[in-house]
Amino acid sequence: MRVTDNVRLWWAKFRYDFWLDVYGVGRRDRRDLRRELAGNLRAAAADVGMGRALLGLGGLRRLAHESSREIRRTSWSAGISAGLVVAALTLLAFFFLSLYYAEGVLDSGVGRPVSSWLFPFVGSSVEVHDEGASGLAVSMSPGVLPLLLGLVAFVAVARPWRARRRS
Amino acid sequence: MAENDPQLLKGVLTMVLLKVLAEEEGYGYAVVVRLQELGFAGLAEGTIYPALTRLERQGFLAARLERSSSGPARKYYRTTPQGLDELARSIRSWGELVSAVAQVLESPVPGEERDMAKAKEA
Repeated sequence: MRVTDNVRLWWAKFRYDFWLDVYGVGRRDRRDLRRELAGNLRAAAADVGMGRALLGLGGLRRLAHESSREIRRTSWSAGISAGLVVAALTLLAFFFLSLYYAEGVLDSGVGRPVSSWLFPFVGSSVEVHDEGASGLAVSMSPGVLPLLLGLVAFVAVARPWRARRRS
Repeated sequence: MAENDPQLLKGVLTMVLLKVLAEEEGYGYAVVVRLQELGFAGLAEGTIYPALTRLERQGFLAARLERSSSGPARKYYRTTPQGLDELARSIRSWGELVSAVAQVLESPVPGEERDMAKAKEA
């Protein structure tokens, strides 16, 4: 096989593995499926060329979806990662929104401590204290939204109901 | 040969695979080629590979790895005794379906009704 064919084969295996992981296939099963696909692709490429061999597979996402039907499981680690990332991004959004709010308070020159909650962060609070020459004090509490969105992301990705179905 | 209707093919794929692999074991791509030679012209690898995996999981196919000179080991499938039982059941069911469909198609399509349908479409 040519170098370009090897690169295409590697890229196809990589994408296939990615989608199998997304669909909750365990590491060992993924390795077996990946190897089988590589063997078949090599045989097909020797027969009809790598381009047609890859074309015959259709979409790798669909192939991974179909191949994983019977072996999907709960992806706790992927769920935890997704939950943490979403919670962290939500916290970051809250942080920047709080700074924007503090800037508004400073610009208004209100001269006393101001506190409020920030939409859509239910249960959040931001308190801005303009201390003049000594600086600015901002205290913030993000409320339950980051936790809630993190939890939703965790459930959506981990799909814990699969564990229940197995038992 | 004209390409097969994917929906029809989907319904008989299990039976066809079990039969082909009962006659002779084969790995994924070899099975695709064999079926294409048998007349399943539009059959794609993306349909066969997941079906083989599914049938193995269901216990209808057994698999073994064999070293290949051109890359990773190939996974050869063969129909198991459980798969042969399933095949016999599928063949019976297929026979019943074919005779029922043949009975429906036996009578000629009424010409007038067909003409009226064409006129409506126009």
